Amino acid sequence: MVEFLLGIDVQLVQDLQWAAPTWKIGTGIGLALLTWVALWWSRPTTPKKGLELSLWFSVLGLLSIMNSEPQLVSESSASVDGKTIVVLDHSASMSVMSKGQSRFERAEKILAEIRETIGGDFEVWHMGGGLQKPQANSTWATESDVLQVLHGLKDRYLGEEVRGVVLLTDGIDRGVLSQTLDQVPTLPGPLNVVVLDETKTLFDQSITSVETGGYAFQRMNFEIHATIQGMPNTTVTVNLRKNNDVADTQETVLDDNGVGQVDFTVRPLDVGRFAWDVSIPVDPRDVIPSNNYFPVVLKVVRDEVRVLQVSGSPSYDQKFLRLFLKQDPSVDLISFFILRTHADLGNNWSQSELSLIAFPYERLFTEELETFDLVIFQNFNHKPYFGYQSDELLDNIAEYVKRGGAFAMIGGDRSFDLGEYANTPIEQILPVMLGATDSASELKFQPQLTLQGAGHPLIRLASSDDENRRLWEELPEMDGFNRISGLVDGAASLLQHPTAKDDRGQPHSVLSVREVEKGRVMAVNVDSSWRWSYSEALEGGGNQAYLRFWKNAIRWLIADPEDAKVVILPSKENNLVGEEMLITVRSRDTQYQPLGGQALQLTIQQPSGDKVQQDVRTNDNGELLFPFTPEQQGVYQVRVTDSNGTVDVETVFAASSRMKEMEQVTPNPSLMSILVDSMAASGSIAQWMLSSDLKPWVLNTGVVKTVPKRTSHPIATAPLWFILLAPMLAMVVWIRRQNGGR
Amino acid sequence: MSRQWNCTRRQWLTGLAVLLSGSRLMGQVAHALGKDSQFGIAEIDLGTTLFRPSAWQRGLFEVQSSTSIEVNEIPSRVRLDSVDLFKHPFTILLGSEGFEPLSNTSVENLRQYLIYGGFLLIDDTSGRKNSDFMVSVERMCRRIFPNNGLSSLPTDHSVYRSFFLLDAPKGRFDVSNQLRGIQLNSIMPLIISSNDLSGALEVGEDGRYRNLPVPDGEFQRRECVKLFINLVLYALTSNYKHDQVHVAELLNRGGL
Repeated sequence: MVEFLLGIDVQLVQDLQWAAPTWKIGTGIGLALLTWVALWWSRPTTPKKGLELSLWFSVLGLLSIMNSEPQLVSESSASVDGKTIVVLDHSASMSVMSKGQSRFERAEKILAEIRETIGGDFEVWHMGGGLQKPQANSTWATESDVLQVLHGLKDRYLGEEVRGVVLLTDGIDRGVLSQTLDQVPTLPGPLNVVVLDETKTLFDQSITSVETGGYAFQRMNFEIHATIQGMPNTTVTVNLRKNNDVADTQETVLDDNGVGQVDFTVRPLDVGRFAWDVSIPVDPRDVIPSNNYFPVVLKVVRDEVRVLQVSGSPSYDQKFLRLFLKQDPSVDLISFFILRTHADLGNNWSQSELSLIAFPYERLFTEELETFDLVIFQNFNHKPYFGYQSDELLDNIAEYVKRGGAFAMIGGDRSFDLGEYANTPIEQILPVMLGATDSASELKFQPQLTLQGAGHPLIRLASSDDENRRLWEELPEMDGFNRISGLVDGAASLLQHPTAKDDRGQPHSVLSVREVEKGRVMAVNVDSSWRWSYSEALEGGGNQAYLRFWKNAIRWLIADPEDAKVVILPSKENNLVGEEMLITVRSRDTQYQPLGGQALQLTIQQPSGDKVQQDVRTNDNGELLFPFTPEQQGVYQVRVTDSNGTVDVETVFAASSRMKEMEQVTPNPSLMSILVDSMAASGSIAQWMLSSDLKPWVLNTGVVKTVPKRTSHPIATAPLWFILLAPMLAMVVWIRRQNGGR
Repeated sequence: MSRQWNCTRRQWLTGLAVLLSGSRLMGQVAHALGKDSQFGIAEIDLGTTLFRPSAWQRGLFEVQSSTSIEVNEIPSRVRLDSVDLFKHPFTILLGSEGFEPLSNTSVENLRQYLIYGGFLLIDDTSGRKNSDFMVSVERMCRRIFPNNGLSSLPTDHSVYRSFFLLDAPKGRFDVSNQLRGIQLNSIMPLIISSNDLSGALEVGEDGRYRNLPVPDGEFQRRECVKLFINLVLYALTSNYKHDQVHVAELLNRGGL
């Protein structure tokens, strides 16, 4: 009977639910109450009003229930086949290609076949350093640890039985499986291992590591140590390149394990970050050509500033400069003073009485020249010494400057025109033009700061402009100066004579600077800067003005990359692909104070040539921090510029994709065989097979799963409601008729 | 005391050659950039001390004729309490008698002067060990550098090979076979000779040497000239000769 009234077997009913949304239920109840109140107000008071309103209340209540869409929920259960667990090896070695397909792609094909042949539910996992949920576009795992994965399966399905576990792998384990077979856990179902084998032996030669020791000192030998892996007992040619030019080539014979070592000795001459790479030839059979190349960026730091001071005559000016240079621990000074000229040979001192040595000018200005950061010609006339080699040796110096060296000429009666430098390669790099109508002036004068000099770091003696100007005005007078014809284009005059003019009618410069291609040159047209050493000593203030001037001069001349106004500092010179790094840009003003709020453009050129550009701004500390994740292997160039062209600096860093996972990529079915045997010995069901020879799957077919089944039965239109409504409405009609039809 | 200027044939020829080569040099270029930038000597004036400008003139002549150094041959005098001290990076104090302790200003001036590049040669002309002059000098040195005592220069010191290879310091007398000095960092800005160096170089108005060095006469004077030239070279080039490259070069030719 109840089954007829509700249309459902009530024995199965577990629950009553209301399917209508809350707003609908609320609205229905509200309308029913309003209707009932309206009826209560509109009905005259009669003996049967109470009965009629009670009936109306019941009718409206039933309608509200029907409006709420009641439904009865019944529960039952069903048995289905147990699930199958599939684990796909997702380590980097699975990316190895064979016949146009990676191992992983072949594993996915086998998975599709399993789905068809076995049927039922599947749960798919990835194998890396542990059991991992598959994710779209995930990068290759850098590890493969079979033991961790088996333990993960055991924990994940604890107390549960599955039809089987299928492990699709190349059998390469980077963990400790081979040493810990006794620790392999019991799995929730039989294990089927499919080893993705290759049809023939894999050929792979690789550079597994390149070690540089972090950084190198300028002009000091350091080792680049490379480890090569490949076919045992073969000879491999290894190239070392700097900025794509081959710097050295060596051969190594791989040992019985296929490992060889190569040491390159390098002597960097310049300071900064430089891109090197080690590479081996790519054999057509090589399955991973990308690991035949290993980029590395080396940071070369300056241990000491190496200065060559050549003076044509011992003098006070030479003495004080040498004292300063010798006392500075950051300077490695090589001095050569001409103690005796041909003009002094008349005095018949025996050669055996003298401690004089020959001036090794030829060696200094040929093979040794590149070893110096700065060459100073102090009152030195080249002609008596260089002789017929003058042009060649002076040209060496000019070329050295153009390649990034620094040169300073300091005045005296053997400098500039008096040193016969007019029309020589040296004149081509000086900031001044020679050939002046008068060669020198012996009148004392007080040098004046020029407009360019006021803002130049080279002659900054104090942090404030006013204090700097005051200090220069108070320094001692100079004894005289070498005359020049004028300044060359692009040169800057920093100090000038208060009244004298050059041949062009311009204020006569006595201190000027010039950048010549990658190098820098300074001309000091006086030979009495030593007097600045005593200017403050008189007042007990030491020789700060002199020290600051020369320290600034050397720092500017050698253009130390770390001393530039804007520097780029990668957090690491050598990074891993996919590993986030930090690029710091530091900006300073001419007084070396942090420059905040500076608008700059940061450009990162990737190994592929693609560029990442971003407008950036320094913070209050004059810094900006730019996180970056290299996605390609190779050398990245970072460049920072500003809109008006005053800032243009760059540096490099490298990213390599070297990981342990790719050191050995040959499939290892024997390890899987040992694993299966070990599991079988401990009572577990397991088998292994090659992907080229698939066998029937070993599954636990008795494993079924009871699936609960919930069924909803709407009863809003069940006969019960109409059976109840009909007599109630009939009685309402009857009562109203009894009350006169109203 | 001999006032002869003994001159050998060789010295005449040498002088002639120097004059000829000097005139050739002067014909080519000007002398430095102003007289004040040339190497010169200032004698310290303590009020009671001895002056021997002719000795320094003679010595500077030898410097000019034997080396590439451009000299201002006229010595000047300067007081230790004067700021003018700092215009003369090479000064000489000589005497045979004791002198009063220096004023605090003079001591401070001298200390600053020596620390920041000045050079002081002290010449004891007494011909005696432990002379009153030397007692005063040692007292002065203790006040200037209380923590840096006087020490003897080793035989391989740069002073002995800055231009000539010398075995020992010579002078008019043979009182000591060692120079003494005060070491500041790697240099000696104050050096003391006890053998009356200036006495061996001093010349009279007639151009002849005033004194004959004892016991070896002209040979000893020649060594004095060489020592003076070496002292000037050392004052200008300090430990230049001990730079590694020079040591190696000298070793190669067996000179060191």
